[in-house]
Amino acid sequence: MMMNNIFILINKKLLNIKKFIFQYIFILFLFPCLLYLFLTIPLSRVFINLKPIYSIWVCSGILFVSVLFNIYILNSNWIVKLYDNNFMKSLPVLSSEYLLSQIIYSITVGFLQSVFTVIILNSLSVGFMTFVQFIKCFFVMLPSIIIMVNFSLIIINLIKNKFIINIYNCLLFLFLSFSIGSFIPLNLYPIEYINIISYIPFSGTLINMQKIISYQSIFYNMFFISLFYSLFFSFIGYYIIEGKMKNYNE
Amino acid sequence: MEASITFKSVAKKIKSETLLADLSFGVQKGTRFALVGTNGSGKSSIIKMISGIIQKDRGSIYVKGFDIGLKLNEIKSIIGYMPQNTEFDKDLTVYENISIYGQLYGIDKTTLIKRIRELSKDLNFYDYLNFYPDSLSYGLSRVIMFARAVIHNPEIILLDEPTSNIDPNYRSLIWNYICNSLRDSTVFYTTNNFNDAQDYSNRISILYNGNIKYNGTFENLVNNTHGLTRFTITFKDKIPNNFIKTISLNPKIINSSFSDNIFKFYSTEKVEYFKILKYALDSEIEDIDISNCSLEDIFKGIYTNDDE
Repeated sequence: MMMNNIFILINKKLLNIKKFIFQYIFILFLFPCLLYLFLTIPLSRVFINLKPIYSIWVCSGILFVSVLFNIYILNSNWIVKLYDNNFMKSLPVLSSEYLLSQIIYSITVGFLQSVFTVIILNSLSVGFMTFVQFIKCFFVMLPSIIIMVNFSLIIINLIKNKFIINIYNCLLFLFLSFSIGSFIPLNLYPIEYINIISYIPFSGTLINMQKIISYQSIFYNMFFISLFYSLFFSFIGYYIIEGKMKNYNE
Repeated sequence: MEASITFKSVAKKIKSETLLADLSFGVQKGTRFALVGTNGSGKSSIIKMISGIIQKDRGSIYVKGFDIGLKLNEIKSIIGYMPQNTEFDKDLTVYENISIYGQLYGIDKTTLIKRIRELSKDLNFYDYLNFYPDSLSYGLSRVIMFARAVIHNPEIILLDEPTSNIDPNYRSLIWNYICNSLRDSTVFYTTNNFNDAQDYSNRISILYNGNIKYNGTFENLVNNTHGLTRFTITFKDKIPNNFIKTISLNPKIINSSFSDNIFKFYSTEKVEYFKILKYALDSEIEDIDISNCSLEDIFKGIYTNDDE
């Protein structure tokens, strides 16, 4: 019954996209294209001594930012719909089913975004990513996707004002793009900053993705730390949904 | 008789204000139970508590004998809930909106297709199944929301002001369906439409100051008023001042109201009416009316503390 409900909820989300599928696919294409055009091309003329060359090194960053930012926006929309809908709250659906369906859906959308991004990047930078590298990159990104699903839940739960939420969306984009080494190598930042940022699970994921692209072995400890964080954030996400489903504060 | 819903000493505060205090009542299985009260009296909160959307602060709520705090998900699966506001997934068609939620109640796809076809024909929205909710009229949206709430043939149906602000055609569609096709279900609904409550319920409760003021059949409610009757005298011109002065001194008339040329009052004694009519005949009269006390009259009586 539980899995059945999860699949029905995922089906519902896919039906939701159906109405504007072409606009959605267009965005899936457009986002990595713009990241490449506006960030990668100019920055490739700045970072000329990087190994592998910048236009290949940065592909993990484009993949990471486009997938995670897309998931963040997608989830904030979903949770607002759930909060405002009394009928949904009256259904015999558990909070864990809502959360799991959202995580599986986000992974599916993340995979789609990854495929689109890789197709675009492979057509722009010659020989950038093999199929095996792509699967490995997506695999190490899974904990970050789960963290992002729950992170958007926390943000929407804490901030009610749409204007402030929009500002947070911009800040998150800046954070994902420029603070964890997606487009600018981390060794250019002060050492104190690097020490702090290395505790954030996203940066560990990104380092591993960069290692996969450079044909180096990944840091498994970073992957497991990210996995631990994803479980921790999932518990928080679960309790937020549970609280909202039962309106403890009303 | 078996109880479908039982409230025992339930209390609820909203933003530090007491909404419900020590509320206790029961709803028998298979009855249509109307809950009336002023706006903000807590009617919707009661329905939300039964459907598990909001939590009680104190007391116990039982649905089919199960404590709602312990068996919430099981209880939710036998309940059909229609919220007060129009809540649809705007990106899904009417068919998809009903179908997805039907699936979440565990109905298999074949039965669901059959059931949606049946419901849409009975409730007259078959032609709108492929429409998006934004393109529907308010009345039709309410009918479809009702259909969505009863898609799984629930044992208990909770309707939050199901027919408010909708035209008589849609209203009778909903009530006819409830009275004919949902005879075995327990229907618990809130309303401010007194005619609906009077005509379509087996029992009526009046919520007043966070508690149930009256609970019983409409006939019982009227009997509780000791045969209270509504009298109306319509004058040709404005009501004469002398008449108003004389009437104001009569202790046996209840809840009198003067508006322009219409004088309305309640009394348990017809003799009083004839006495007043005698005074009134000094002026020119256009119309007189004697009618039984309606639910609206009782409700107004309670809220003006003049019911007895």
